[in-house]
Amino acid sequence: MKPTVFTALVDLLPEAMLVLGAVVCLVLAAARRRSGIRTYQAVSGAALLAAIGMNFAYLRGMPAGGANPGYLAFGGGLVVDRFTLFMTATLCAFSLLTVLLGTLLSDRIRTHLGEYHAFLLLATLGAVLLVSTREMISLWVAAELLSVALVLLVGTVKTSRLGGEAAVKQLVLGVASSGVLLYGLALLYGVGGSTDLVEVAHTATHPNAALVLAMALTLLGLLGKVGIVPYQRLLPDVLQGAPAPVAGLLASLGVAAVMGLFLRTVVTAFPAVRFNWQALVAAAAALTMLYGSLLAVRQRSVRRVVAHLALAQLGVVLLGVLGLENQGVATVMFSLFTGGVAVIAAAAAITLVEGSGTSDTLAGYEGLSRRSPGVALTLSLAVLSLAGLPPLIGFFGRVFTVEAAVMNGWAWLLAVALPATVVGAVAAVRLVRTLFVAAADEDALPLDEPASARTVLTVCGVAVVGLAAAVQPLLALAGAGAGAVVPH
Amino acid sequence: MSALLVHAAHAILAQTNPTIPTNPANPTAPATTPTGPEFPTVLLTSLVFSSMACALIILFLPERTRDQRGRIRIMGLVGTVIPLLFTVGGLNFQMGQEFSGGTISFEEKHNWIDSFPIHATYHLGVDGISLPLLFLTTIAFTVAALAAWRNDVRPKLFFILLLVLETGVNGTLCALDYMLFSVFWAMELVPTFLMIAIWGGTMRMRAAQRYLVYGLVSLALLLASAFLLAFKSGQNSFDFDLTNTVNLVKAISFTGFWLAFAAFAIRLPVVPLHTWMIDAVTESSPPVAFLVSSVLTKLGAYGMIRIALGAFPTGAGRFGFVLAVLAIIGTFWGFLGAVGTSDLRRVIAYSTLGQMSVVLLAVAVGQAIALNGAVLLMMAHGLGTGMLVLLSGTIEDRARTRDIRRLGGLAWQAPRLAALWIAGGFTAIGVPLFAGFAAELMLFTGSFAAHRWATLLVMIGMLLNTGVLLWTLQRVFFGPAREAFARVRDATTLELFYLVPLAGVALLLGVFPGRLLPIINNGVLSIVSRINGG
Repeated sequence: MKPTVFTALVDLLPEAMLVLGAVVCLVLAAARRRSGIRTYQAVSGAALLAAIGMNFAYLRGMPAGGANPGYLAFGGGLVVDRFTLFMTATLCAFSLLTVLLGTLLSDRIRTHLGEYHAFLLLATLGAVLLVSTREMISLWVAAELLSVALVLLVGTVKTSRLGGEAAVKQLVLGVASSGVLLYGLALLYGVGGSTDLVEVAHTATHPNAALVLAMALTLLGLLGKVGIVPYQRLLPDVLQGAPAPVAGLLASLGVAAVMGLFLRTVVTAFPAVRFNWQALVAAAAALTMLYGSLLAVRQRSVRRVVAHLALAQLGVVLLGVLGLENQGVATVMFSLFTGGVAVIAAAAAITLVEGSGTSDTLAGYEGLSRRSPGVALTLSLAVLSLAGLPPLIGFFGRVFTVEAAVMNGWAWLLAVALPATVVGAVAAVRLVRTLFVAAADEDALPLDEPASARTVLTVCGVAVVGLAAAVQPLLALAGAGAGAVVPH
Repeated sequence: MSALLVHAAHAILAQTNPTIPTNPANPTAPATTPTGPEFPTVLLTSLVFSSMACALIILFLPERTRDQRGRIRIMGLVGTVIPLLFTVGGLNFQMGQEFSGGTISFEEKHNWIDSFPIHATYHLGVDGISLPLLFLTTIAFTVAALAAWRNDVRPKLFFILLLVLETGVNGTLCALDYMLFSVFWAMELVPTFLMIAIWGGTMRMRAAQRYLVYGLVSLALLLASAFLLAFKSGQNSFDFDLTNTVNLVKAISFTGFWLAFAAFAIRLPVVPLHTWMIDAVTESSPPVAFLVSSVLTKLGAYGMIRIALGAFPTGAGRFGFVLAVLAIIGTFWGFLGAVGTSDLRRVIAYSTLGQMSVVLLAVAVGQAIALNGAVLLMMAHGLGTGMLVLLSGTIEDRARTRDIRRLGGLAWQAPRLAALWIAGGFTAIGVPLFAGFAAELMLFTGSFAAHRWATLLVMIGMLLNTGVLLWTLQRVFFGPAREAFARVRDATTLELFYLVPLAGVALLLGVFPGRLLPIINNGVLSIVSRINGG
């Protein structure tokens, strides 16, 4: 089908929903200053649900088959294939859960409810565009939209004095990595002669120094966006300072979007220098897994424990990138989903605990199981899943990525992944011990659990446990999407 | 009695002779399935997940008032009794069957993960090795639920953890797929950790942490061996049916064997990896210590037979002597440890180490009669030593000490406790008429031919262990009555209610081992024929 302006616009409908939602939020904020958070949640929720619904409608209309290229619009600036649809639905779901958690922040963001929700939707838009493009310029724009919106979210809602610091750190590192990424893309354009990554892959078939440099810079730029080694200090610091729901969004949506783009970029654009980028990714994966797990054991702040476990989990996700073939890409998509769900569950629990004025130290969480058994249970399941302990869903993500990497000849990484998982699990169980074993303060009151937060906790908790039984359909869905990314 | 044993041995010998009907192309392919009505094929799923379902129900029960706590206890007990009933039903059905070697019963097999090149199946089934152990574990969990009846500290959490643990244990015994096996295997980690850490004695935190670290390392080793097998067997599957029938290259088989062996050696436990078990049995509350000593160590032995022997027979055949040496060290270590301590619970922990080392000897030999004896010994040990662990908890509760030097003459005040202790002790050390006797007889008879010196040394070690247990009995219960214990209460009705059945089952097994042995032998044969054929 020859794309026309009309079909292109139809393809853009989910994104348009998000823009519409953001605009409505801003207009509401300007026009009716008294609107409560419910109004904004309803608007953002409707926008996100509409986007998810349209996604599934497209998915139904899309002919099956692994190699299905989907629809192209704007010269590769917008790709609608099964990969995009899977990732978009995942990202919108993460965002929807974060919107629900906003209730807990309503006191702090009362004066800028509209902006908060608008930024949230714009961050989602940036993330969605990021996973649905294969063209350098729109990629760049989407990445910046995502970064800026996330920095604003971190900065506007100050819940602690660390919030401002976190925003600045994120901004500085984000700009630095953007710069590196831009160099990489510019070089790549010079080598490939096109801004379309697929065209580049067709043109740049011979490995040469320029291509290797372009690849290395692009990769480093992208890694910097999510804080993988060598940018390992970013994620824990930002997650410690940001308001908990935003921190959850950052570590789920932000990470999933950039890793989705990472897949598209490295797998699509660099078949010629495959061995170079694989070596780079393998090193980054091994170091990130070890760094995250080892440091998670030593943290005293609950947020930092979760952040380091999430970082280690990112290292595991990178293993899936090494899997390369359909399975590799599918496992990455799968683990991004499972990791994100666990992170949001943890963020929800942390938001609730901090809302009651408890400090973010392990000591503050002692005996939480007495105060609020449900919160303690969900937080435990979330960190255990993040650490990859069976029978939770995170374990399967881990097993699949490791399998994919080993099948592609990276067996030595197993020798890193297994010890790292053991150490990470020790860190996770250490947190669980704090929640369950230690005696609670006698006069500590049960936490105040609003219905929306309880919904998020329940949904994530059930997903972390229950999806273990439904691994197959989820993996099959991801597998169908993976076919769209892997070059044929 | 002896006639029965001889009869049983004859029956086994008749089956061990190379008249096993095997498929020449595939020596371990299940032979003819038993005739008779097909049991509903969801038996094992219901068996495994019924405890989990009860745990879920308990999750939503409040525990503020006494009545509410009572309801939680009853629900917890129900969650342990249902699997027991299923197991007894299955066992009863099996006893009426004729076997021809290597049959898997109540098999359930469904595709689980098949959009990945290496498939995993939801494959459950029991054979003669897992079914008797399942009988032991389901009894043990019911007894543990009863033993924790009076515990009023966070009963809700306790019973949820207990039932999740039971799901993991029963699932491990039923799983016939590596992925499924590992998932169930790992399910025991966090519940046991919390159970030790919350309800234990003064050093419980250290014990719990040791348990956790050893357990995680064991899991990692298990996963490594599973990956190795899945990738190198060329079957692209985690299913035992496919992976455990391939003849692997020597190097792979050896590596895999050592990985799997190390994973299960931690659980068995094998010296020098045993410290977690000693700590866990010593420091946790009696029901938990009972589960660690009676159930978790058996899982190690089970894994060793099912995976280290079943999947890597070449390695097992080649390194038998190393295992035999480890078994000798284990029995003597258990003896020395038990002699060197005056802590009653520690004595029992070390005696567990000694007894499980005898099981290791059977694994080292990999021969049918020895393995039959090993399975029976695991049951005897689980029942007998389990009783001793629970009784030591009772004694500590009554006498306010478990220092053997300060105990003595308890038989005067508590004759029923003394009688139960004697029954448990006799089961554990293998006095005729109790289950341990038939087990040890078969085990040593079977292993003597292959490793004469090792068998002799292990027997000496066992004798020494027996001596320590008898000496302990004498020091704790006999001698002059002591003033300090004048008001010690004898066994309560509740205690009798769960201890007497344990003794009864141990006695039944001792008198009629022949009823169970054909079933056990049927399971053992599939492993043995693989060792001999592979």
